[in-house]
Amino acid sequence: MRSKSPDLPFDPFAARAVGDPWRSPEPDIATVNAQPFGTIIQLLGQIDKTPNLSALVLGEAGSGKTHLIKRLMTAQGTSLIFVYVHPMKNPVTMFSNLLERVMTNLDCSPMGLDAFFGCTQLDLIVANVIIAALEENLKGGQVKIPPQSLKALKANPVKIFQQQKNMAKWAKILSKTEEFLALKLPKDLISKMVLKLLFHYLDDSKRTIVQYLLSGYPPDEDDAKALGIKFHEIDLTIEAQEERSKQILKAIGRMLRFYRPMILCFDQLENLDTTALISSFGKLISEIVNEVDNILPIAFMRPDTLESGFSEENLDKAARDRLTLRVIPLDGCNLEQALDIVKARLDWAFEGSSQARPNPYYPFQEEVLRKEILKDGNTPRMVLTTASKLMGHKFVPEDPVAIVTKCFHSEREQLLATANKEPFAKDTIVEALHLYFGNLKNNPEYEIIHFGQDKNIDLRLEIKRLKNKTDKRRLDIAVETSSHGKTLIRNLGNLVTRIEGGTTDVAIFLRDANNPIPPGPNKMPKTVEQLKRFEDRGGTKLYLDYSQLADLYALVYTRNKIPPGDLSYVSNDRGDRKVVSMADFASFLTDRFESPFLADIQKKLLTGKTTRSKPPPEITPERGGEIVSGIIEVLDRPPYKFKLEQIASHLQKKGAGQITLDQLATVISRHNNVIGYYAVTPPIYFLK
Amino acid sequence: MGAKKSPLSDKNPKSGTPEKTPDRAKLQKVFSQAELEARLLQVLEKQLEQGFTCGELPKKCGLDWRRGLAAKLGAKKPEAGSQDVQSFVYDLWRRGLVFSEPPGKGKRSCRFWSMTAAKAHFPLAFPSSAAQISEQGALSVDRLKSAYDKFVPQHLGGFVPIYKVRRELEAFKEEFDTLLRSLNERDEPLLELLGGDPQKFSDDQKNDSFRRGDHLFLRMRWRET
Repeated sequence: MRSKSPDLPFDPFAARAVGDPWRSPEPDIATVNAQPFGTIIQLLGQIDKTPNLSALVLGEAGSGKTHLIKRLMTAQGTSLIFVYVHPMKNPVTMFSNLLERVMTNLDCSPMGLDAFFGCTQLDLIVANVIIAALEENLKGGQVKIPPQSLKALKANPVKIFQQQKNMAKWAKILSKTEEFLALKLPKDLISKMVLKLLFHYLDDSKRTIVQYLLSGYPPDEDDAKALGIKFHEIDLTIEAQEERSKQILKAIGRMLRFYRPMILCFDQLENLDTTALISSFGKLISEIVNEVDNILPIAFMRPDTLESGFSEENLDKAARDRLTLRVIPLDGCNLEQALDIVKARLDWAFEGSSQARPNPYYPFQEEVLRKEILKDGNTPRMVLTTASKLMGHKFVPEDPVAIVTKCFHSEREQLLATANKEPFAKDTIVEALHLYFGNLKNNPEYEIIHFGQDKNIDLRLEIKRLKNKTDKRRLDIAVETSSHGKTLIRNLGNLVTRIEGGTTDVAIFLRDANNPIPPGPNKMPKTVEQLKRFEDRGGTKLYLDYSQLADLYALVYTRNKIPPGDLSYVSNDRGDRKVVSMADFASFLTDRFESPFLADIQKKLLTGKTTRSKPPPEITPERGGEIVSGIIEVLDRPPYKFKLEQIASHLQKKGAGQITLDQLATVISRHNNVIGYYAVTPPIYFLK
Repeated sequence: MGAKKSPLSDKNPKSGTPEKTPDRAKLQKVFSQAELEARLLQVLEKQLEQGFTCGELPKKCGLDWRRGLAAKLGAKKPEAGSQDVQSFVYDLWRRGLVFSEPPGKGKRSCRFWSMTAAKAHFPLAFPSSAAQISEQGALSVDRLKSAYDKFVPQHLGGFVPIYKVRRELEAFKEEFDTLLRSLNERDEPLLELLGGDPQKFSDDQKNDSFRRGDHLFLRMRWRET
């Protein structure tokens, strides 16, 4: 890569796809794709009157799809509830996965709502439902609220939560809200449960379990008791869970009429690479459009993807019609928009810098920019590439595998440094396992005999050593998210049967480290007993901590960028770029990707032995405080923007002792109110 | 320019005498544009073998025609100059009323022919059928847009593969590329040129797409105005 200008703290034109909009800080230019944005807002405005709506945003790689998503995200302050959906890779659990994404996004603070800082999107939904009920009761004379108080509540709805201090009054408010909703919403079991759970969500200690249950997972007896919901035997099949998830989404949609409509942004759909996935996705969109109120699904894809993957052959007509109800094409830039992009990127890079800039386009000359900036093409990404070329440095062709490696590390670091931790998402984990172990096919020492998954096992791998063909090894991994005892016992039982039947050599039970078995002393005795049986027979229980999860998620997120053409590299000394291919990704997996946790499973499969690496000691709150003071001191110096390695190096010089980059990122994630980062590659940290 | 000053001219206040004015008025007939054109075309029609140069044409058209042209143009000189005549003939050529034979084969300047004479002398320049005219006629923005519109219903959002439009028009490669470039390389582009996924296109389709430097553009899209 060329060296960046000494005047710029970082290269604001580095070609990088925006990625997850929740984590992307790149400046957005409102005039670019203003019309598509306006069309979506218009659709949202009419969704209560014409509910069966969807939109399909079409644009080439680099035409600003994810920027448009980001703009929608910042519009949360005024008109919508935002949900970003990563590509879903399991055709049989589309609704469950969607609901997981919905709950994860609803648990985030809305952007641009300073007045409500600290509250989540779900808090706002609940607050607005309560206020709608109060208003209705006020009309009926059942409650008395001074008009000014009601006005203040409507301006800042979360103020209603202050009433929680008075328990009796709060209980009365909730009961009135329940009565109000009983009149307005269907009286089915799911709607009642959703409402109860939403009220429990306001209690910080119950948020995790509420999120879990609202994601469509069934409650066990203990959960039901703790939350005061009716426990009954529930159908635990995948089909039943899918239906439950759909009903929950419908119930949430109905409540949105008291607040705002929601948009579901389905991005990077190029990753739906099988007919089964495309067909399931089409069905999902159709069902949302037909059955769910106040929720607008928006799909984002390239025209090539629509015409090849989502063609009439792969998708049934009704689903395709639903998906293409409203097609919104993205436009490229005109000259003024291109100049605005360049200026905004430069402002971004120089923000907080004391360096004097002779003109807003410094270090460019405006007349040169005007003449050259649209020369190669007019998509926003081409504008950035041309700006990068115009910086006048010498370009050195880049190694695409190195670009994949950088992207992976950047994604991983952001996952660790972000304040909003990603939940334990089974499908993403399974996809990462498939990517990693599927790549063994490129290893000349082995032959893969079987690779896949079934109803009970998330990864089944059988390999043969080529040196000694009789030496066959078999691996079974089950990724378990359930907290329902019955499900756990059944799934562990499946693994035990395989071990006892001699059909597996390595059986692994993977689970979230934050959700251990048992969840507390003397809890789930039968499940504990089953787990012991599994371990006694040679099964391996592995709890994944967040740093290990970050390895897996970063792998999947990096891979997801390749089919849409979101990763590119400098291919010649003129600075032209080419997109990274899946072959480059496979090389990265073989030669550069490192995950001690996955390497350990692989070693166990191949040799039957494991090497447990000792995790670094936890950072105590006291040490964390010292470290964060040190970080603030570093970031408070020119040029006020530093990479994680630079921060670590400064801290070490100051004698802060040994600290890993992972630990540093984790400390930063806990102090996101003072420390922010730009999600460039690598991320750049600054003081807020 | 090169024209001699007419002894009858009254443009110079220092020359001429008032008593000569009635003669001048008698000589200076006012020609309409149509009459000027008709006279010139009539002259060309009579010369079927050689055509005329811009220098020869005004002489053949007569003094009154030259004066009529000068009067129509509001020129200070009594007779139209050679540049005035050239502009007049160029306008006729642009409108397809006369044929221009480029210089060459010992001829130093363009020769102008009536269309009838030109068809006999230069048959290759006059395709026989309307279809041929359509195929070989200059590629215009309208033709490009019509060809593009034909494919829009098959390509949602208007992202039409360039190769389809190129093949539909059967235009010369250079001509087609130049037109795309001229519509795209503007401060306010009329036409978007888009990368697309090369893996989804065959080599033939890629060859019939559009290249700018190392960049391959596979789709085009008309911007909505």
